[in-house]
Amino acid sequence: MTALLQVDELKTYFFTRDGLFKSVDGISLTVKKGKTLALVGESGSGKSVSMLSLLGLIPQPPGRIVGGKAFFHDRDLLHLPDRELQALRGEKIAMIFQDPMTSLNPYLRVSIQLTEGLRAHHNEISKKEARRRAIEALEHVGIPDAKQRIDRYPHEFSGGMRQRVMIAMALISRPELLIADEPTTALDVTIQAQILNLLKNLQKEMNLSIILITHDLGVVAGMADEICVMYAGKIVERGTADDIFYTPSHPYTIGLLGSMPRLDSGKGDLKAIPGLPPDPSRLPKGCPFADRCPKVMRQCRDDHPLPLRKYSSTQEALCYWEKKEGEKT
Amino acid sequence: MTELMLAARDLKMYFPTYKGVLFRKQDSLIQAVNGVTLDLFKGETLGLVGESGCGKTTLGRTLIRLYSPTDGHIELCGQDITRLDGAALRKHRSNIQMIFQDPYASLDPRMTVFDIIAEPIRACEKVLARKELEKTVADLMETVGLSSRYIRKYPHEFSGGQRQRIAIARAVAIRPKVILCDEPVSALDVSIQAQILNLLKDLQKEFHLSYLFIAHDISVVRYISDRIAVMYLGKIVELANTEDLFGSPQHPYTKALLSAVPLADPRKERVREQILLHGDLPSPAHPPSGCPFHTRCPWKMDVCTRVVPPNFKAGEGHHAACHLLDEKLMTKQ
Repeated sequence: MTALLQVDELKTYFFTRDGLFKSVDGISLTVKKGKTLALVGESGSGKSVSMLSLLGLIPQPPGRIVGGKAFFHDRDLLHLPDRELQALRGEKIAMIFQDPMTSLNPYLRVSIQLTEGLRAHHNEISKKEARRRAIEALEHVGIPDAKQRIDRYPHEFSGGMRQRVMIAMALISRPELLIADEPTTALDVTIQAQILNLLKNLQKEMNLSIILITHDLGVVAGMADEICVMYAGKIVERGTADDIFYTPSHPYTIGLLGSMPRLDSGKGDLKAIPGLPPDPSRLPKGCPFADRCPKVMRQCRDDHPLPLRKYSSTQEALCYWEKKEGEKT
Repeated sequence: MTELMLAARDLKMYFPTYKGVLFRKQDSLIQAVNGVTLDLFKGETLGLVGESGCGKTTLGRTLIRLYSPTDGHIELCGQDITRLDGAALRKHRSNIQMIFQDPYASLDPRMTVFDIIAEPIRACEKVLARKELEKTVADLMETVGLSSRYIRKYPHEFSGGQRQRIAIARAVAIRPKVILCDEPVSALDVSIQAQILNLLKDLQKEFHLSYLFIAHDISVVRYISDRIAVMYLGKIVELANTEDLFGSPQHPYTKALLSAVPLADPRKERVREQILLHGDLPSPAHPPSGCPFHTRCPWKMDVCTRVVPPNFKAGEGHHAACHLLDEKLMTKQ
């Protein structure tokens, strides 16, 4: 299995009047060809910022990528000239966002928005050819009457259909990597099921790699091959889907799973995680989760890098506390 | 659990839409709530689930008389409030309070926490001396898990979860009997969501509250509700005890809805059978004839396009509006 994207110690900080925000604080991850990597975490944990950093979409200033490398094939995205990054963005790496209504331009017909990217990357494609490919792309994502509907405006589509248009737009140039930022959060469950199914089928068909950003652990369970759990700018645990759901080893992951109401188990009390995530401009020394952690120890607040515990070849956690075999959590 | 707190009988709420500038004429009628009958008993939580646009919020708001219903009846604590207004309505309003979805929009940014929580107490003409009022508010804050040191702070100084706690304190301030919770946790992160759900449960026990709990997240509704009503296009298509609804859902829409919820368990998720619905919710301005769900139903029959299905009993306190439950019809076929 070859790595398509390899991110090493990425750090994105924001330098604002209110102080220094370490939004992404040294994350490393690997995306394999044809696989799905999920970034899970709560709002403000740095999921979206890390992905926007890769695509050079962080407003600078106040943001700055202060360190790290991100190899896509053999090119470092973080140190690529603008022009070369521009050529990759939308062409080889595409992104879809949470709210299809705000990411589509309400003034432009869908046809124009679909062909725009294609024509920007390929001068040689004629208008007619671009339109043909756009219709093909719409049919591909399951929009009925694509030939007629391509000339409609975004408001004439329902939420689910709009998200399909977004997906068609992202996949029209046959990218290798799709970054999906909360792609179904704004949708109803029945529509969410349709869109997730569509993504899975397209992935198989195009051997697409997906980075799925979400806060919904349910969505992750069915989609992800590998999961990275983020908290306050750090990846606190990573593992396969089975590792994370069946043998979670970081207290935050354990807390997150325990605080989620589920359909498939008893109605026992939810174990909420007490307290709040730390203010990203005033991160504590040591582990950012220490104040909420039930397993907190003295050394957790030390000013040293946290130890990375390896539990298996696929699972590791950033934590002093070591889960013992069979320990109840 | 026998005392009836809030009841709706064949409740309808239609909104006319207009077109034209000079000569405005009625264009269509949005049938947001289209004949809903339900009961809320003392101390219970009735969950209301459905997709966006199905009329959940309109139903909630009609029930507390933020709207004047087009047709039907509403009873609050044994009193018909369908056509009350002015002072008479206000008197009964103190029995019911509301918690909204967005704690950023539902708290006045220019009021201190003290003023926010004291407002309903003052509005109910329960005149208290300033000192006494401050003590009451401070107690309420502690009840919902906020330090009373923050009494002089403004909403922007709090996080989303804390703001929702302020909204909850405001809702319980005048000891209402019923609280309408409209998506109270959907704007919150999971770890905070669990804190708020547990708080709501604790308060319910403490104050014997009845909740009408509106949400689109089915796992959340299951966690908090005793009974659940499933709404589709302005109608309640199924109503049952929580266990029955999840154990043996009867209406095809309920089945599809439950099967669409992703499970946080990779092994179960890999083998989960889904009923994938095609298409989207029809427009409530032009609801389909017969059963509102027939346009998306995988088990559609001829009769569904013509006849509106009545409620069929599927068990104790469990009913669903679907022709498939009509034994006479089914044996004939």
